[in-house]
Amino acid sequence: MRAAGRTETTVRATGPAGVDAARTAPSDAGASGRRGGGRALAAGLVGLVLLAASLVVAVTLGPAELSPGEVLASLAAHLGFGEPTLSPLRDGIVWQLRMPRVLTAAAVGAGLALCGAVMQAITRNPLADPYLLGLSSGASVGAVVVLVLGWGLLLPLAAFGGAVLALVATLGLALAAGRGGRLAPTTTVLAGVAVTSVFGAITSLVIFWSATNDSYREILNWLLGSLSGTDWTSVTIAGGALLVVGAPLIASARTLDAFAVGESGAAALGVHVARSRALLLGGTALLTGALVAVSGSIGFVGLVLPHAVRLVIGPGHRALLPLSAIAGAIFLVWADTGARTLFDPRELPVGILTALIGGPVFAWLLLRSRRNA
Amino acid sequence: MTLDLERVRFARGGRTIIDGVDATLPGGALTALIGPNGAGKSTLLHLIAAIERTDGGELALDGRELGRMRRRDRARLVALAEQQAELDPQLTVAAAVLLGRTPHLGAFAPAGPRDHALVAHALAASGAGHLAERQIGQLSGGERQRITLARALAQEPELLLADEPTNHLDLSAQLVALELLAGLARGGLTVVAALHDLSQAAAYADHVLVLAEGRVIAAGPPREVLTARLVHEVYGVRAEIIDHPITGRPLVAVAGGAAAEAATPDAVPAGTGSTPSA
Repeated sequence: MRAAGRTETTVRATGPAGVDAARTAPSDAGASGRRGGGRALAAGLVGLVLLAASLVVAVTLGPAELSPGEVLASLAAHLGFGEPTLSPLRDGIVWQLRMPRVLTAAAVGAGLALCGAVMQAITRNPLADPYLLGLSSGASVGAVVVLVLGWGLLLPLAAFGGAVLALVATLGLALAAGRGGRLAPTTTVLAGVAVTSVFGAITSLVIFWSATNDSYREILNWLLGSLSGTDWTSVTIAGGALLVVGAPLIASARTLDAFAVGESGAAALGVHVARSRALLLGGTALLTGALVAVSGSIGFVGLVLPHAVRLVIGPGHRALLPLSAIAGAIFLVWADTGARTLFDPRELPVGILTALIGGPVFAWLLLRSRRNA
Repeated sequence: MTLDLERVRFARGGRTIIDGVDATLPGGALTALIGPNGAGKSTLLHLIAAIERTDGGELALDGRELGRMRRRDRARLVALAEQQAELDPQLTVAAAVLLGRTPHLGAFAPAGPRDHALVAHALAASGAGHLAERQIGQLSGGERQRITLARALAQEPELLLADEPTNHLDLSAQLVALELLAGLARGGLTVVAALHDLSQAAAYADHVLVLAEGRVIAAGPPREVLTARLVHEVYGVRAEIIDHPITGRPLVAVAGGAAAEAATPDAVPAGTGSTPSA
């Protein structure tokens, strides 16, 4: 047996695979691989700095003007470094209103982009997004029902419940239609289409039947995806889900890479294809469900951001997953800042802005990929 | 490493595809897996690579049961170059071949210099060294075939399975691929390749396993196994086995298919070994 892992730097002199001349190989591939790695690391560091700056600057923006210094002072005070220097009112704007909202935007953006990248890999479908399995339509049913009944406080719970219900329906249908208890990617996507259609119809029915003017506006706001009214609970839900589910998703990058050689190819590389796919789908669904619960279904982030990042650093998931998360966070922080400040005092649902930006960007990506092909 | 197959069975959708295969494939040798379309060659390779689970029987590499190993451990021993391997068109060739290192790499450990060196060497050995920086989507069928073989080599297996490795290749590239496989076998690797060209099998293989309808029809050295009678039995084709004028290896000279035979009913159907007749 070979001692892989420990022998990374010592090239075996001879080997049964006939790769004995590896010592003398010019290693073009090596050079490019290491270049790619350095580039990804640099992009990651730049991304993190940009994200930190975006978080601070986004909190300063709004009807009441604040300076970055005031934001940092408030932050330091609340984290236990130094005494509070801001007036209670300005401190409340930072700590109770804007900070939770900006952090929720970052967590939701990061989670959606991450889930999109994972979904695109497991379904091997470039058009896949986190809502592919009918999750957002299920969440919509839950959300609309509680909004119509006027039980707004239960919204995250109801939305998450609806998302889980839709997931169970999709996976149940896909398993029943699949061969020998396996989740085939195409069948799963098609099952998602069926479930989305039914839950979408139920949502429309509930709105049509019972929504009044007040709740109608609220419902539309949620359906389009909005971060208004987010608080520290939202941060806890979205951020917690991102940490708990996002970390294992990022750790499965090599498995996702192996999916690029197809199902049997991945199996030949030692990947337990059926189990990995089920776990990854489940994890993605759980995270998406938690995000939808706090933000409604914000479109295009999960679809477009992974493609944009792939253009810059290539398709390897070890770099793609964390960088998509960082890019998604920055993107949604700024989109949401636009949504709440551009038409002040009116606020747009951020989903309108992400679609408005995401649509043309996606079209540009399509044209670019055609030119490269 | 010797590969032992014992009563291996596999059925799919009520149809038996591999019907009790018993065989011993010698270690450090190139075994040609031959047989008509639908004989079960690809399925047998998939079963050995554990991409499909057998419905019975045992597969053992040097006495170690393959079915009981952890997937990752097995993938360090057994590599499969598939016939029509899927490859993400966006990947570069070097990245696609680096995927062969997957079973050797941890979740967080980046590929090291040794991995990159193995990739470069596998590419060079497969005659694809010049393609390293290209994208998969820009390659021809034959070039993709070489990349698939290179990926399997980068896996550093003890047992290399190749499903029609000459597919899509031009004549000279076919010989490069076959010579590579034969050379790897001489170096100690156990190689099993599904092949269609019987003369190529005879020219390069140390051992031939003939499969038809999921059963082993014959097994042994090419000169003993490849007879005119066998070719007729298995393929329904008239052929004579002659000595290759240059290499001296058996050469399967095909005379005509089943249709030609029906038109001339008095023709000698099952040849009498290698003695020239008529």
